Amino acid sequence: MPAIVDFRRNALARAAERHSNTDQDECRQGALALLVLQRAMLAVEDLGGLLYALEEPPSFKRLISYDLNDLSAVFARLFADPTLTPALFGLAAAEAIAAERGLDDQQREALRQLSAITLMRVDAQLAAVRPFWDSLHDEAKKTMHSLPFIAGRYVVEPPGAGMISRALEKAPARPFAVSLTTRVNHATKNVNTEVGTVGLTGNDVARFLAAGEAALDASEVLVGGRLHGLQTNHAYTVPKTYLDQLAPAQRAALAGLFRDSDD
Amino acid sequence: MTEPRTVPMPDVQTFLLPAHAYLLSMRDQNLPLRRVALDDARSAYRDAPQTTAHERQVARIALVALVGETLQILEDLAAYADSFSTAPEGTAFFAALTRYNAFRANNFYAQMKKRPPEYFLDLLGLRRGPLRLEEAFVVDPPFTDEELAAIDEAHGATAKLVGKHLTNLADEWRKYRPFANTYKHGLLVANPEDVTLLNDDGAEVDGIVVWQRRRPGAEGYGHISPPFKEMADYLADVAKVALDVLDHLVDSRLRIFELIDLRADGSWKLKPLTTTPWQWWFDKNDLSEPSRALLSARFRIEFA
Repeated sequence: MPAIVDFRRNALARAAERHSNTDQDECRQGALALLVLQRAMLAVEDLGGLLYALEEPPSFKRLISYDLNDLSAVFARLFADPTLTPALFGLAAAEAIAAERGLDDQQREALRQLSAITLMRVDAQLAAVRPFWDSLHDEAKKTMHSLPFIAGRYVVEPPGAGMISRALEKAPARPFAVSLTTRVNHATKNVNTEVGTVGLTGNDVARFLAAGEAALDASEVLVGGRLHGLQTNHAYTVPKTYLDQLAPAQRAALAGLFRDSDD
Repeated sequence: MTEPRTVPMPDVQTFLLPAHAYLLSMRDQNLPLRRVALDDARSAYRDAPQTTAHERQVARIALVALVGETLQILEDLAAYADSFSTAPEGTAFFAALTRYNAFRANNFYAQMKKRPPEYFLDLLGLRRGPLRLEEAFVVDPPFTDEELAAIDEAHGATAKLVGKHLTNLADEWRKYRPFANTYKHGLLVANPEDVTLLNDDGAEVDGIVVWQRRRPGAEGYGHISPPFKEMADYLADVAKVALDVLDHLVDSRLRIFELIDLRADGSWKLKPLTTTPWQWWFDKNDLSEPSRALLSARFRIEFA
């Protein structure tokens, strides 16, 4: 999993860099924005899949069998149940830290503080991830399946896209893409093509990037903590990811507890 | 002057303008997206450091990502090509294209070896049922019988090449599909530190294995063996062929639109035929020298 996170992070950064370096051609800007969207969403799906797999009863089968509705549901549950995030991330609760042998009071207090900071950070990451997933995962999937997108300029500029231009109630800022979803009702023999839009401006791309990075950061904390727990035979851990957020005295108190190789 | 056969013009607002906008978007937005993603995936694999075990695993994932980018193009190609023959009655091709069907690409490629030459002529827009494209336009002076035969030969050669490419791509689709699924869903590439691969004789071998989705347990799939660099080059070549075919199919349809002046209010008029309404693409041995000379003279074109 650390290798997956590293790969996804680099792939997302490369896509964002290519987007920022592209020329002024509106369609090419849109193309690169769609690439950032896709790669950010892949990072979110990795996180969602892992969280789904770790929910009770955790299993490898859950990791390879989820569907998109499962991921939507797990993201929703994280916001409905405040105990779920620390449980899935394996974050040590105050009671677990208090019960851990071989620590002095100063170390216990520093670990409680580090655990609280980690949870706060993870909550913020999930708060960035969930609306991104809810609003755009269908559109991101379309970037992987047959590209049912019309570039916004060909919808709003003459001669337009006929009924698709007419179906567009309000054009967003350019560049944007019009996404098409056709459904067939076999009973009534009706064919309906739904018209949606995906904003692909610089601000939109910054939002995609932020959500993707948040997902990667959360995955890193999740995997780091869980992996360390497995290696040290602990049900709960406190990842060192946000160690630098502690006050110097607390950081010093924990200096002997974390090795450089620890996650 | 020949009289064109009467072809009812599809409704401009419902069929022609949306189809035109979609084809332009394929050319200017969607295909560039695939090209840049492919280029990025290829260079990411090529430049990946491979000193530590962690770096080697990241590089293996990068190769699986290259498979993913390649097969996304194959899926686009399948969806686009299939949409021309599967659109619900009374709807334009993009109605089928924009209707997600998880089995479409599998079915499309599974049928490829059985497709007759006429299928590819239809797919290329070179004919529609019994109507040949060249019969739909006023041509002055009219084509001679020899010219019509040469056009037929060039159309047939183009259909043959596209058919050959699609048949070859069908094999790649079948072989590498589980890797593409992995790329899109979790990137679960088995780590050689956790998994040992054995051949039929029980000897340890190297290879890239992915965990298959929707299986009752951990079930690996492996079709990528070293040398991985050659594999990356091979995949990039497969992707390029798929892009070329898709590019050609899109261009074939766009050329027809170049002959029609479409207006936003739904009015239209035919433009004078100043260029060929088709694009030929074939192996040089599939078009005879006399036909080549005849077509070069008639259309003032040179064959590359």
